[in-house]
Amino acid sequence: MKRILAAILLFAVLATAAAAGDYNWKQQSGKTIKIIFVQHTYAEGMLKKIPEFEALTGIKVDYSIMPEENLFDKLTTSLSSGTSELDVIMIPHYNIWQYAGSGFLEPLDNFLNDKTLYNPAYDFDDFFPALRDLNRWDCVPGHKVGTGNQWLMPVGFEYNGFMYNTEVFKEQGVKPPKTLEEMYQLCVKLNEFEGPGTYAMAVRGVRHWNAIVQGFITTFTNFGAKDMDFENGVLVSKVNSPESVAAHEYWLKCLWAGGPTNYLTQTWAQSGADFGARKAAFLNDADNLGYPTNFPGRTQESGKLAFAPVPSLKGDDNWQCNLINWGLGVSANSRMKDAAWLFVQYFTGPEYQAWSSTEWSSIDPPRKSVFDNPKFQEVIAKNIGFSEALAVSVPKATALETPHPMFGEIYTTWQSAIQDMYSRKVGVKEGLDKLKIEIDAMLREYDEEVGG
Amino acid sequence: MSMDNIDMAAYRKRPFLVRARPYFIILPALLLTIGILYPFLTAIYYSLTSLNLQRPGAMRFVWFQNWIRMLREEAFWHAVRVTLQYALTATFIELALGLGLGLAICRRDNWFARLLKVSLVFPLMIAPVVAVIIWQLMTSNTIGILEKLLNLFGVYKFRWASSADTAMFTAIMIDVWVYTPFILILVIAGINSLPKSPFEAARVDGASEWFTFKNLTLPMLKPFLYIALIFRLMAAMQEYGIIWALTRGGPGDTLLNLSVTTYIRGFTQYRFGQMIPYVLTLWVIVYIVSQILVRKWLKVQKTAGGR
Repeated sequence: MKRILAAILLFAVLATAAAAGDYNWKQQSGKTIKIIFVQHTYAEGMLKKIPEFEALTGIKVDYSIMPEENLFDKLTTSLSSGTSELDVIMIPHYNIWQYAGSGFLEPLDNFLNDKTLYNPAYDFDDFFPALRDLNRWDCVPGHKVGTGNQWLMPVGFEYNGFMYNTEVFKEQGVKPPKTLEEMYQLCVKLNEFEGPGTYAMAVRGVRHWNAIVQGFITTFTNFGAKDMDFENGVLVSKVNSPESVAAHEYWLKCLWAGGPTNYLTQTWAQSGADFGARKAAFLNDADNLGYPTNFPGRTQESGKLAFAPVPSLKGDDNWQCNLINWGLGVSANSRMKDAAWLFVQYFTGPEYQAWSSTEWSSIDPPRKSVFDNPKFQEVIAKNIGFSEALAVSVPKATALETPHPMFGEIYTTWQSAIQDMYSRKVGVKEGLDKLKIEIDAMLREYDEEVGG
Repeated sequence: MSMDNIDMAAYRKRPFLVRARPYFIILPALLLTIGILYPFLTAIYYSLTSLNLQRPGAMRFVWFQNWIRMLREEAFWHAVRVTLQYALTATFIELALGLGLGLAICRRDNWFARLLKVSLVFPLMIAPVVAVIIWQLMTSNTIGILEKLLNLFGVYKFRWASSADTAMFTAIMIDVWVYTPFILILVIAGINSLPKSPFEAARVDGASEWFTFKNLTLPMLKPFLYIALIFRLMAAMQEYGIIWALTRGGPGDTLLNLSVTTYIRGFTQYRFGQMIPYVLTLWVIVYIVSQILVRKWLKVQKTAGGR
């Protein structure tokens, strides 16, 4: 019996290897594909490997690079014009909600199910299920991710983590919080931990949707609150629910007690800079903001920074954290879709992903095989608690925002309302009641536009 | 020769290329006019549609719906107020500072004055967004030099752009820092071009400094000041870079002027049909203000020239 099993296993391995070996990477040779990269670590890794991709496939890659702030303007204008100006698109999963329903993206299932184009060695099932789901959506506003077509293949992800300065925590005699109440106590205790100019919790606060998609939305969800939900089949805002009011009161309490004094203009870069310069005792944001801050020699506090999962409401296992990923997709207007897919397949494939996570600085690999790679474990072991926090957080991580094409507008309006509450221009309940009316009006207007 | 005297029969007999010559001469100007007007006409057309970049295929003609909606929106009137407040305050301060500095620098011609002339122009060479980053660092409550300076006077954690009460002040302060040198250059150029004889005559007659400034310098500098005013006011009314880089229009809606609101409407919400009335309104405001100022400028130029 053992011999038969061994023979079957051997056959399966050889068959897979043969299939992988047979894959024709040259099938689109001679074509040129166009892509705009975002200025990001993930893209920098890809740029290094483009010559290898071109040599392997015979496909020429015509690329440009843009800062994130300008990328979406350019992409939306280009995609909506209906021209074949772009073939490959690099976007975060949020943009699926805006682009997929508009018909700007090509469903990748077409390629996954095509025996000529799909490389068996690609191993789609190797992606963490949460990341496969994150890039799958049925294009119905309000429906959760995880159903419908696959629109992107993940390049890298980030989850909301709790990162802290071990030296400051040791000196102050405190530990990473298990509950949200403990995190508030840390905000109180660690405010001005080394005099004026130092504060407890680094978080983003600028008037932009991206300010609330990590620390805030995770806390908000762990209070049992929801941004939107269906009522009698109609999607409505739930921002003034009792749970939401409690979450906002808590968040503001933390900010007032130990948040950045420049909270209303605080950006991603400023949070990372303050954390790395020992101006902030801990960082409540994406783990891949803390990770580069801890690179040897990168910041003043490099090597002293540690990682932990975010606290839950009551210290139990009932918690979630937000998940974001950047992915590669194919433009629906592209005339080089097959060649574009080869690009997507190469740069989200196991071989490139292993290189980018071990030889390059892409952390949070979306593939399980890379995560289990001893070399990768060796790389992340240099960061205190990183591996443990990642292992605990990934199963808890998902998109906590309700997918909707107007996500950016809704969340920017929400952060604007939080800014008013923070500035005490309006009370929490009053502000959230007003916000609900505004968001509901946006949702109805969208329904009317689409219906009309 | 009047039109009646033209021999039309003889004129018609001339070769086509000769007859068409006047049209060929004005053709470049016509093409340029079309090139300038086409985007405006397109913009007017799109302002009457429901164009949304997320759903370009669903565009409908909605007549004046977007315009009526804009005029009914509190956000629009708020944006107009912010635009005017920002532009008028910043331009007034820049004019006053530019004039004062120009007069002070031009009083003496020594190495210090020459050094000031060069160094005061530096901010103008920096992109406004970079200027914002510099000021963000200086006003940071954790590492900012201004925070340390204020600490000496017992002021701690001054919020600068991070407070709805002081965000406008901070944005204007950066605008003044960047653009005062522009006024300064024009003022210095103006002072250097003034005729010497009236000033010498005033000095011989024993006129006071104030009298000379009020009755000679200022009237003769007015054309230059109007030029500076026209350019700065027009640009300040359209300011986007400084505000966007500083606060993205926040805190709350504090700095949401017409340009930033337009950008958000177009590129965060993708509602181009709704965005274009904002753009055109801003254009109309800038056009009217600039026309008024240009007329004033022509008038003061005549006065200054003694005509």
